[in-house]
Amino acid sequence: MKKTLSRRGSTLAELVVVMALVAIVSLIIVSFSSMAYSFADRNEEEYLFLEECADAEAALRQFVAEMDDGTTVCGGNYIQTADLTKNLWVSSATETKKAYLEYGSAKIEFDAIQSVTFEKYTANLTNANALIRCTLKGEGAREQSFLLVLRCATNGGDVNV
Amino acid sequence: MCNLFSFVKNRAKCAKKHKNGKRGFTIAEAAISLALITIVTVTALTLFTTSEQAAARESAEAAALYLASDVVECFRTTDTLPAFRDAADFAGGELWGEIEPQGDFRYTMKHTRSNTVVEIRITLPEGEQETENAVISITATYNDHSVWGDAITFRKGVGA
Repeated sequence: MKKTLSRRGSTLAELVVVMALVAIVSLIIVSFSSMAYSFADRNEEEYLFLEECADAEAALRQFVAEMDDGTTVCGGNYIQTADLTKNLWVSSATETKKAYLEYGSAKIEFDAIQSVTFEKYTANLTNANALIRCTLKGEGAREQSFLLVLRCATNGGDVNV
Repeated sequence: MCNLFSFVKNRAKCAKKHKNGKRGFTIAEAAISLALITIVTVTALTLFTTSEQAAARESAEAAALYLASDVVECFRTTDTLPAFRDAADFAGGELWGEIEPQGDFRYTMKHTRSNTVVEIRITLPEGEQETENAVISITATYNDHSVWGDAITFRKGVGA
């Protein structure tokens, strides 16, 4: 009995086609993976920044309310009472340390917020009020700002618009 | 017809039919494969863009909420419309306001980060005139849909 075996190797053309297809599919997978990673990374940073902004706002409102005694002064990176008993400091992020906010014994470190700055406005406000615009900056063009209201001393404060 | 599905189901019959061991893809198989690849690709791209847009919208809405809250504070701490406008300009940086003929004070903010427009509309019942116990309504709008709205009773120079 003669047994016939159907042995046939692949031609060079077939191999080339298969390799080309594998290369194309690999390229698609790799580019998709990197795209997915960058999307996810960007979104995560965005949401983290928004979350930290909300936390920072809540903390700043609470601290500023405690300091609001009519003598509060404000600089680019601090808010303090005239008698210096209550101080709120903010520090921008550097290569070695994160941005943070310090009030008394409380210290809040930020991951997504790179800098916090204060700017004071007093013109034509009632009851010697002052508005402090707090600007929170993250990486790239991320930025949020909100107002804090103070009854600052009319002659106090280092920063004026 | 001896396609991929029938080949798996009835391997012996197909093997007999294709004695030389050669078997290519049919057009239907190729079409199905391409359709599947297209569906997966489009779905993935849609997911990516949707999540990106959601993050951008969240950011713009947060900015709108901050701005709406800031405008309320500006209104509470000022006595006159020019003073209010100056304070609101300070609050937003790149804001501009305009008084509409109907007496509404419309305040518009261009959110520069994502180049989207967040609009804050403040309705003053007496237009530019100051009134005590005035009820003002404030709405924040982003991409033509409202993200925040409130009405507060305000006594000028005294506070809310």
